[in-house]
Amino acid sequence: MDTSEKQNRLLVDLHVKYIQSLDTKKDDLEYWLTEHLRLSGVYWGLTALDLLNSIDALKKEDVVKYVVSCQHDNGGFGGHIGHDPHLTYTLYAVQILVIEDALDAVNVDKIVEYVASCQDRDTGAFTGDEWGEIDTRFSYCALSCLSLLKRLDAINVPKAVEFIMLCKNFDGGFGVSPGAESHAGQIFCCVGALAIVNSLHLVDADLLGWWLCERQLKNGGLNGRPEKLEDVCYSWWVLSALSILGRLHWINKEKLIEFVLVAQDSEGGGIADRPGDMADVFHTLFGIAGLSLLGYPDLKPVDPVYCLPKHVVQRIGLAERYHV
Amino acid sequence: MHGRKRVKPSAEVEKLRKEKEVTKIKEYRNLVESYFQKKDKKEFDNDALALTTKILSQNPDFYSIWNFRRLILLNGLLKECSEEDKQQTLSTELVFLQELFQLNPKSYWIFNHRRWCLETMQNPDWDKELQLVGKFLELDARNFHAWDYRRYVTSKLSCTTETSLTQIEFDFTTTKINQNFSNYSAWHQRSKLLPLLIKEKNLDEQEKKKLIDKEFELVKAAFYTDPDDQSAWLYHWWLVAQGSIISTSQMNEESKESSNSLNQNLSINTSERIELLQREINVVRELLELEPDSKYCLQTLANLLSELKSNVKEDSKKIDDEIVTICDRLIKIDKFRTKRYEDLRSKFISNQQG
Repeated sequence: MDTSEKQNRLLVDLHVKYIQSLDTKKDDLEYWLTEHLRLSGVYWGLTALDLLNSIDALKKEDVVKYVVSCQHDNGGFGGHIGHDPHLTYTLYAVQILVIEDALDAVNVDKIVEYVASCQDRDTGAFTGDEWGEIDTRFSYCALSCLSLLKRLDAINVPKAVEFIMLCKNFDGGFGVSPGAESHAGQIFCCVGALAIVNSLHLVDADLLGWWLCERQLKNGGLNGRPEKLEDVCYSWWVLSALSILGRLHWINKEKLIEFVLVAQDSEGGGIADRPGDMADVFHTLFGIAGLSLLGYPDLKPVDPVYCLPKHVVQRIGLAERYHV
Repeated sequence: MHGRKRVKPSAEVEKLRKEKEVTKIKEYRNLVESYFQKKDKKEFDNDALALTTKILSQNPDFYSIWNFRRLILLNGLLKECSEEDKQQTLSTELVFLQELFQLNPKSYWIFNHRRWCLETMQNPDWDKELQLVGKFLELDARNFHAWDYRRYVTSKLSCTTETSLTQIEFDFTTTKINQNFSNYSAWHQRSKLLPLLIKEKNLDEQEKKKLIDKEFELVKAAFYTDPDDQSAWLYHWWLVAQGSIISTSQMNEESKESSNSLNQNLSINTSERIELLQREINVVRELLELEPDSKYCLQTLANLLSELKSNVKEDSKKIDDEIVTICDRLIKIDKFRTKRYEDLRSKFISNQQG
């Protein structure tokens, strides 16, 4: 079978092997330079594996033990053992523990305390950590995390929504902070966050849906902003937002599937940002999650709001709580 | 990992690379090991600072190192020193960051640390920062980190000088748009500045109308130059929708609530609204004659007609028919998004039946 034939279908076994092999590349400098992404990598890899029906490819015991070792006394999680606590890693940790059904391995109250401490009382915004960077990504992290822990009561939700709405733009999209340009990654965060707290009525779904579906380029791939290059990760950021808004059918599914499949590394496994580039676990998850949303066969369905396998979200009783 | 080409090196090349990396990995791991030791022992000295410089030069995304660096500065060099020394230390810090920017113009952490330095300084030179970010946007006019940083710097500048920079920044977007009509970032920025400008200048009705008309002229020049670029079309649609005080679309509902909306500043009555819609419909129809397959042009015409329909009592059936025809055409032209046009069409077909 030549490369192009291989790339007509999802190379499930290769991707599973690729994800399993990630922790063995210790003679690559890259492995050490990306240590701060280790916990994220576990979330990306584990979620992808579950969608590929292969969650057992990583040993649950090892995964949970590792996640627990990333928690700090203040409740937050770092990107790797000993790395400083941050809201993004705290969400990744909670997501992994929810997938593994292992929340009892950590002190949940401490996590809730940490997340709540990141909210700015006046603006409702969330800082990533004690150093004060503000970004709508962190609003999503906080809302998603507390929703998964069933502890949204710990923060001021109306204020959080108020801040997100300050970041809404002329095109219906959202930026990193008030005044900032719309960006598909940020739109996923804001639309997802609003969905979690049942506030989707604040989104101009037709206008934003228009902007989002115009992200599809002639080659089938999606970009993250107008006049930019396509990238597999937008198969998630753009698609999840369209899906939450009930407008997934506004793009050409076949062409996008084709684009994601061609970005696979048909020898080493994994998916790259675009065809011909190096694969990585980040794009591997978002390529697979995108395919799952598009209904690609033999993949488990993914939840567009939490970016978790749907069965996991259903198990904890959160599925379909959002309405367009 | 973005934009790195996949290469399949020969076994020999791969072996050589790994051999070379052994030393590099050892060196790097030693640095990281020293960081953990120094952090544990709370050693906030010059050696620790030099250590973070080494690690960050190689790996500016290692966020914990930035945090440690700030702790070193706060508990070391910046502690119990004169304001002059403090300024000097942080200025040196800014030079270091500028070097890192050259290799990493899109790192959140570097911009973050720069903000911290400037906010920790007694006398930050915001003018210099504005010049710097101007250079960033010359190199990449769409770098959204740089645009964010620009908004941050100008807000600091207008606070310290107590003068508004709205007009200057508005003119900056004009320059950027004239350099390239497809600069979506600049159009976006303009959508933020135009309502502010109207509010701050305290213009009378006539002056406001003149300013808005000038906007329509600019955006028309843009979509006439490149009808396939959505930037100008989206801005145009925003301008049209903003001019409405009676539209029931959500965009207007929302902007009514916003204190900086054009609506509050520009009150026009229904007949003026219809006049504006008809004028824009004519502009778009003219372009459509030259560019019959321009999907944004067709889409805009459908939007304008739909808006017109909600403002006039007569011709409603005729307008529905035309929108349905436009949708049919869009379905043929823009194959990737046919379902969206079908959804749009269904609204007007059901109107016809109803």
